[in-house]
Amino acid sequence: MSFWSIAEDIVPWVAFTTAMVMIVLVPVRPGGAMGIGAKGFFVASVACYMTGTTASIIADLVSLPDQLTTVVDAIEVLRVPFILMGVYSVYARQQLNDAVAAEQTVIQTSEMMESIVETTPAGIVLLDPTGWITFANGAARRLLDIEESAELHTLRTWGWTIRCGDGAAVSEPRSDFLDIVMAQQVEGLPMTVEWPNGWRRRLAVNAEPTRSGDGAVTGAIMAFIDAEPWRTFAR
Amino acid sequence: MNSMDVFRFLLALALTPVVWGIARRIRMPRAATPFLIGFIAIVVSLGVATAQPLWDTGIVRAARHFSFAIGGFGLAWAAWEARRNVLESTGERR
Repeated sequence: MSFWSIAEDIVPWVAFTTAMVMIVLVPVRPGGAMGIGAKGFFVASVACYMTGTTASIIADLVSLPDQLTTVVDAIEVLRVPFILMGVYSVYARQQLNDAVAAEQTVIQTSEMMESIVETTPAGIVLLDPTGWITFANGAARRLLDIEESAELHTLRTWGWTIRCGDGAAVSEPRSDFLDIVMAQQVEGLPMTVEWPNGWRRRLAVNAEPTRSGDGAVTGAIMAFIDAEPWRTFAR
Repeated sequence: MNSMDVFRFLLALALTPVVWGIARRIRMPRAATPFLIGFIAIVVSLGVATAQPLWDTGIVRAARHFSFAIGGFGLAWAAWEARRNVLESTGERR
């Protein structure tokens, strides 16, 4: 036993004690990179180091039994694996935080777009390839006088007669009008909707087909305004 | 040479690329460098501890304890920077 042999064991002990204090002081916050798991692994790793250095200091003063030395040796094997698990926990938590933030952004964007679509004065509808309306915003429901069918999960469009700008009637299920909006982007297309009771409304329509990844037409999105806003339903 | 020392060193050596790769991907630039310095110092100290029975001189023993201490202070510094990162990211400290 000498002063230097104890001193050279105490310096790493002080270093790892400092590390332990610093790790314990790292706050665990929602959205922070350091979670309780990572903190636990780092604390366990530094505890393994401290066990080794403490045993080494004690061994400088008194002789330790062989069994205790073996146990300390075995504990010290875990130091680096604990560091690895701690680092991986920080990395995984960071990835998780990124995924949560991305999801929040998508939800906020989606809610914002939904608000925009619902509050816009223009009617917006989504059509399936056969011409059925699968979504309509508030303005579209008001302009077209449509209501949602809970049974069909679609919107009722029974009995309409749609006339293009030239006044020619087009019939269900497919029509010239649908052929146009399913094929190309159109702007300001005049359209007249006639209800079975004779009411009709003239609309100016912008439309664009929607496509799947392979380019197949999956429907159309249609936005329209009342072309004669001063008129109510007219016969 | 103590077989446990050899095993510890080889295990640390095998895990070093993994720890290094993950630590580089963590977005805490101020904490990454001290952590990697500390980790490498720990691996070096394990290597020196393994070789110490072959060259048991005062310099080798001092190098082992010095690198071990560098490892501890590196981890402490990295933890301090991680604390600062968390506090700054939550707005508790500017």
